[in-house]
Amino acid sequence: MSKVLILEPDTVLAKAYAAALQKSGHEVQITRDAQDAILAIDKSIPEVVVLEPQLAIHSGIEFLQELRSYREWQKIPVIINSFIPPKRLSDFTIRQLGIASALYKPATSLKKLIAAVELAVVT
Amino acid sequence: MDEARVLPDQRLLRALAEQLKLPLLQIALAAEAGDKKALRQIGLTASMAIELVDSFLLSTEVQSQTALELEPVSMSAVLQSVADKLQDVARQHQYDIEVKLNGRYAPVMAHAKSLESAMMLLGHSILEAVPVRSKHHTLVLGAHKTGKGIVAGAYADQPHLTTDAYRRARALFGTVRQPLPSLSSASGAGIFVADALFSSMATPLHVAHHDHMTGLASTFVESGQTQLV
Repeated sequence: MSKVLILEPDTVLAKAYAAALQKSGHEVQITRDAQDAILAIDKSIPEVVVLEPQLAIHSGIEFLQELRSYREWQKIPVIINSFIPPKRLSDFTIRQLGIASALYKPATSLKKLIAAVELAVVT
Repeated sequence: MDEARVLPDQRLLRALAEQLKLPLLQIALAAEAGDKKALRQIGLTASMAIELVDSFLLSTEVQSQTALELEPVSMSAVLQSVADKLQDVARQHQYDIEVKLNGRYAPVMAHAKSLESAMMLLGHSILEAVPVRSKHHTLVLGAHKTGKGIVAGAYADQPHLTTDAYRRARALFGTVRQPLPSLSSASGAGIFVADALFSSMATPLHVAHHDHMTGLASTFVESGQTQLV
């Protein structure tokens, strides 16, 4: 069982991901914006973050930059699960921000997301 | 793909296509999970997506007309109708809806169907905008009189929109994924379709203030017809 933080602006999608991960035995917390996510991580460090970078007010990239600015959070694996196609993320961004994997949300089934989370935890 | 080479009339279509991914993905995941409980919420998202598509189609129809026929339209009736239709969605997003008309005035000159569609889109855009932190927020569908005419739109106590942010959004629309990040994580298709509908009535969308709230509104000319009480 792993602690997963989902940062997803759409409630319906967030609940679907959370329910699937919980059914697979993971502990899940949902946040809808970057600020809440940072506060949530401060309270309880997750083992994986699943992130939609396309957020309102503060983007997911800003969130990642803040996340990586704290030494104790630098190793938390982050999975991008986004409407933005992965090819739009540069290799540099992926390396610099420690992105474990980048998924294209419309093509990512619940099963595929669970597999990505479980791989990120063990890697 | 070079976004700068996207033709102007394709931009709205592209934003619309991006926006439609969400309800379709919600349906796909609910089907995968066999989750019947989510169906009601998904139904609301799908209904608003259909509204968006219909409004887009309406905008292409009105824009193709050389002269759009305007008629006296009761703003209070339109705003009340929109408020009624948005109730379920508002509840889902933890919003209350109020219709606030400051003062009394005659009907406005507008294309009734475009006006109602545009107001629906504006209201919905604010409802699905930034996350609600406190227990409840209020979406106000409001109208007030100014020296330029009747300003009618959708307002909330968050987010705080500025004229500069909206001007930048209009310039960036079609070339960036999130033209109005202070309002939405999405493509903003609803706002720009509303903009197209308002513009077809020669009343373009602008940032406005109503009772200490900010929002998006349009300014209409009074019809000169006596309002019967």
